[in-house]
Amino acid sequence: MENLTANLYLLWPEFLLAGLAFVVLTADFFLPAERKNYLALVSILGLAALIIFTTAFLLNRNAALYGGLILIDRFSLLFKVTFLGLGILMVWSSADFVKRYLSHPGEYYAMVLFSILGMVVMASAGELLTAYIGLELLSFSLYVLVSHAREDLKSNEAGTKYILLGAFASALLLYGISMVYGVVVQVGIPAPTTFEAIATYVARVNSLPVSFLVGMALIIAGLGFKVAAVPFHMWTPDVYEGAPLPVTAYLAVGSKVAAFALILRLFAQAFLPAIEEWQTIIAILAAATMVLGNLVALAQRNIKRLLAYSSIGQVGYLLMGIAALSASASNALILHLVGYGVTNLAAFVAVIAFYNATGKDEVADFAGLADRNPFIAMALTVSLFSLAGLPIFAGFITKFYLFLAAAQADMLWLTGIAVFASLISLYYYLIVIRQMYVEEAQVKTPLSLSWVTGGLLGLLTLGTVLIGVYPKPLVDVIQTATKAILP
Amino acid sequence: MELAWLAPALNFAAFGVVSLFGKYLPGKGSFLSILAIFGGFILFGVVLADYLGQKEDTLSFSRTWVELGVARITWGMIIDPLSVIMLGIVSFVALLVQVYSLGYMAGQERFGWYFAAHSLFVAAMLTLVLADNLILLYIAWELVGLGSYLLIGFWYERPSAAEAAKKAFVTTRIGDVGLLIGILMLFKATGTFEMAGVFAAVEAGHVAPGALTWATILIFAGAMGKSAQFPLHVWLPDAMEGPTPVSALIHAATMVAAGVFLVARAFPLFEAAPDARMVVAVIGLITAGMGATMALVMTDLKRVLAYSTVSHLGFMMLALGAGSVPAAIFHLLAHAFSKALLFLGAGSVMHAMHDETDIRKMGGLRKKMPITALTFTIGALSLAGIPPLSGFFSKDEMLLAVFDGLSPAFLVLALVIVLFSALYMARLLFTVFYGASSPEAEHAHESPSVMTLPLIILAAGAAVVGFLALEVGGYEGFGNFITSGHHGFEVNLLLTVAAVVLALVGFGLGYAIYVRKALSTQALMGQFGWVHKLLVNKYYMDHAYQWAIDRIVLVFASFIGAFDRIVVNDMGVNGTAETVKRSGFRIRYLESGMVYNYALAMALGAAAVALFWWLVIPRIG
Amino acid sequence: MITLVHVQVLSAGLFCIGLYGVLARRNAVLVLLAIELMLNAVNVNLVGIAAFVDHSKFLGQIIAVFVITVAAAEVGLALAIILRLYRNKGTTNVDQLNLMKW
Repeated sequence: MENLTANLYLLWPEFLLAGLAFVVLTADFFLPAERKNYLALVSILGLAALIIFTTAFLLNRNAALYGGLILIDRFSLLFKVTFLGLGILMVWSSADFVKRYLSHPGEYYAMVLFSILGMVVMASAGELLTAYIGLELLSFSLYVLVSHAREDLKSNEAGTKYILLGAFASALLLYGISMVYGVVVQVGIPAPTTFEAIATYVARVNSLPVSFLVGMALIIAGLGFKVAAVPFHMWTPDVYEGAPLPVTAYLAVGSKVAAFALILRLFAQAFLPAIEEWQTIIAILAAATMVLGNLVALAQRNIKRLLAYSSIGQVGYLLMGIAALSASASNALILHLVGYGVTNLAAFVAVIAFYNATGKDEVADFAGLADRNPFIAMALTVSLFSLAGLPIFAGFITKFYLFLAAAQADMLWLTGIAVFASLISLYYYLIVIRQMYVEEAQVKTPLSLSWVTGGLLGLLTLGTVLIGVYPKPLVDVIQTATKAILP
Repeated sequence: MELAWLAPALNFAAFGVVSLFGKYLPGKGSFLSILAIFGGFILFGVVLADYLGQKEDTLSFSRTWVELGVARITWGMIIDPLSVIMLGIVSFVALLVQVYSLGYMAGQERFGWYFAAHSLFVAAMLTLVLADNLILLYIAWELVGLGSYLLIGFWYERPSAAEAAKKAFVTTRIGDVGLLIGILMLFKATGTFEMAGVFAAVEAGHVAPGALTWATILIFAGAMGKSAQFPLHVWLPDAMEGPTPVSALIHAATMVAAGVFLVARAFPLFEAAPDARMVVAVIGLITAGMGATMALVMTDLKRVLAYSTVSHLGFMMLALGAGSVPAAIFHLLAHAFSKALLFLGAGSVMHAMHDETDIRKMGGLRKKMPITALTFTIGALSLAGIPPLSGFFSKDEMLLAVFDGLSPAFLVLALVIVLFSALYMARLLFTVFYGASSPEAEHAHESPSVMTLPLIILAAGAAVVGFLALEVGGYEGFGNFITSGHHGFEVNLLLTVAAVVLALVGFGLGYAIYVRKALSTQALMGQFGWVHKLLVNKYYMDHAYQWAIDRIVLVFASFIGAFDRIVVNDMGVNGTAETVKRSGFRIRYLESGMVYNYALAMALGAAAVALFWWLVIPRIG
Repeated sequence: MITLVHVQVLSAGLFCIGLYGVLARRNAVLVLLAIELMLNAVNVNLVGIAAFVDHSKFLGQIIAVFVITVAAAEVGLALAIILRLYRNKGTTNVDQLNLMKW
């Protein structure tokens, strides 16, 4: 049995992050009201410092802590840095919202920091229970964030639906974990809930027993809830619509990236030997998700719901990457997660900017935006074109790579559905773009854009184009991450 | 020659500068766009000289852009006869169109943005013709679509224009779906995206015939979208909502040519998959026929030209299906000159008639706009196939190819279409420029020289380009240039004479109906007595001709037009779109708002997954 | 003799009763109660497996302790959110949660 504190120093980043969260939370009690908004800056600076520290500290370390509970490798490092960066963007995009509506910003930022901690644990987890704990930490923080607009009925409703369904999903997930535990431990493999042990078991057996399959199905249900795969997606439109906008953006990007990091590691390290058995069902889920997400998006009139369904559609492509799992599929998946993350965030921040200025979020309200504030209109157009997969933007290269991986795995039918779904998505993106450029605005006043939000928007738009035009450095980093889980 | 990549690069740069800073520049930055495209044209000259001066058939230059695992994507270009010719066509026509636009679009709002979008389009098109690997080609392909969306929808304040732009973008994107899947299939079979590599693998027989045929047909689907082949042709007539110079550039010479170019570029694939080639030929024939018959009944000046383009593109595809790249490319060249000329001429007419496009309201414009009329006549005669204009040479090559490569049925139908082509061209020409002056045409006047100069240049081109086909001295003829070993201009006497006769008959018919009738009416009024009776008889004869044509040809044409509108467009293309949209609207009601419904869906989903695994997987194993 | 099968059947039974509760109950607090029942079913399963199958006899129990803790936290949070909903809307009936749909 390993000495409990032997490798504890490797977890310094996590401890520091938790420390930062607590500091921000308690500082809120002591600071006078005018100073409270500095907490945003504190969080951002703290996160930035953590990025530098984590990269320097963990760059060349590889370890499996406590017999495989927590894995420190390139894969978890990549995601840790991603999540910390995402946190910075999240705090940045919430700045206007918090200043205007919240009297205790420290609580808000602390919740964001805790959620990042949860995400970090999810990406480093090498074992089912640890993954579950990270997942729950993330989920709890998100439940609080979604309900944060305390007087808003929609926010209350969204929070209630989210926690009830989320708890339900975690119950399913847990039951699945217990079934898997039961099956693997019966064979006598030590530390049966680690991914390594599960992989040993799966490789050993000729065909998976029913209880294992039921367990897997329940785990997929639980995780599918988190990423909004069909048919576990139904909470997404309501929760996205009801939550405060910056939180919606965070949900759309952050929780999906974290959950997919976990799913990727789980399937690549634990379930991979049995890929022929689960490939088809994941492919069917992927197809259903792509089709349903994009079809229903066609009918949406509210921009938040439209983006919600669009992100459900995007999850379909990611699931396609899981179904076709291989080294290149893994690369494609992570690349798409990053690219989609940047692009989706850009789209949401543009919507946030619009909402901060007008308080409206129906697609019809976007009429004439090109005249009122050409910068927001351009940023939104760039991100929507990228989501549709047009070349020179990030969306093209990331989607293309995913389609390639799926085609290489002989799933041409799925690739065809994906390309077709991408075509449908172009249509509803064009509707929004058309509103901005073609329609006449009802009210012609120009829209103001704060430097804070405008700067963020510019940064994200630039990122979208940059990834589309010069993805090489990013691809190289991702390839090292993939090698860590799929040697 | 290595600098050929500057041609698209200059235009991309122009796009960037003009779109961002155009407001502050003199002339809204239009001169930058023109400079960029002129630079492109100069580069074409340089590349051509360089290329002719050396022995290689094909050269390529490339550098790696990104390596995605086993896939390697490069920026690179191919310099071979095909790309050199296209480089020339695109830059030359684009240059003339941009100069013309200085006059046509003068005083328009967003003048600068027009030129910026133009530059983007040209840049994408140049990248497309130079690309040496399929992914770069696909990217450029999509950008060309984007550029045409921006240009067609330029007057977006008009809902019909915005709709047309969207329709064009979405319809061509349907073709693009096929193209992408075809490219992926080829990659899977050959392991590379580089065209040279793919073609080598195909020729060596490394690709299974079934997969090859499917991949090739899918690639043709992409070409069908951009080149407005049946049934994806529905966007082209609507695209006339854009400014007329845009129609000249995009729908005469460049974007629609992209599909023909793609098939020509990928010809080794088509050679290895004869079934795919037959598909190309059949679709080409159908398109040619539909386009020609519909052009006969349209009363909108630009629509007639649009359907004529559809018909000629169909002809080019037919030639490709018959197995002759030189014939198709030659016709592409002749058509580019002639059709661009006709569109610009139409623009000149519209400019004079204050944007009127109904040809029934025009007449006798020849007296008011002599230069436009003369150049228009040259263009019309060329496309009808009257010697010695370029259209005659290229049509002859194409008919020869059809004769050599396909069954007689194709040839017969093709010849019938030749007749129709001449007929609708004559109709257009005579209705607009000849005959009595209509009241609306009273104030028409010739256009400024910035507009007529390009017309003259293009007319000269349309007249002369045909002679490139002939073997003279050391020059072995255009056909040989494109595909070495191809013969120079050959004459199958019977075929050529038949084609010319049909063209003349068609033209003559047009003359008889649309000019003589008018003349007869005047003469009728001016004569009396037995002369009158004679003329009346003549009139009756003309009337009889008219009646025969009306009852037979035009009814058929209107039927095709209605079929096209209702069945193909509304039901097929629009209908599919409507179904997709309506299903989206209906499925959303599943999202009831009730938590327990959501939970039920999740529970059922989990159960379904588990059951699927338990029961289905062992069976299909 | 009580064997693993008995325990697993009990666990499955509790899980399904909880599932029914989630799907059929209209009061948000009772839905939460049903979810708790499901989580406890998981615990029974885990402890049963640990007792009968696991050589080291403790992993399942450890996981069960974690689950109990997390479930408690979840309930606290959920009740807070439901309470806020009640304060604003006057009801905890999930049928009334229909501001956002299709």
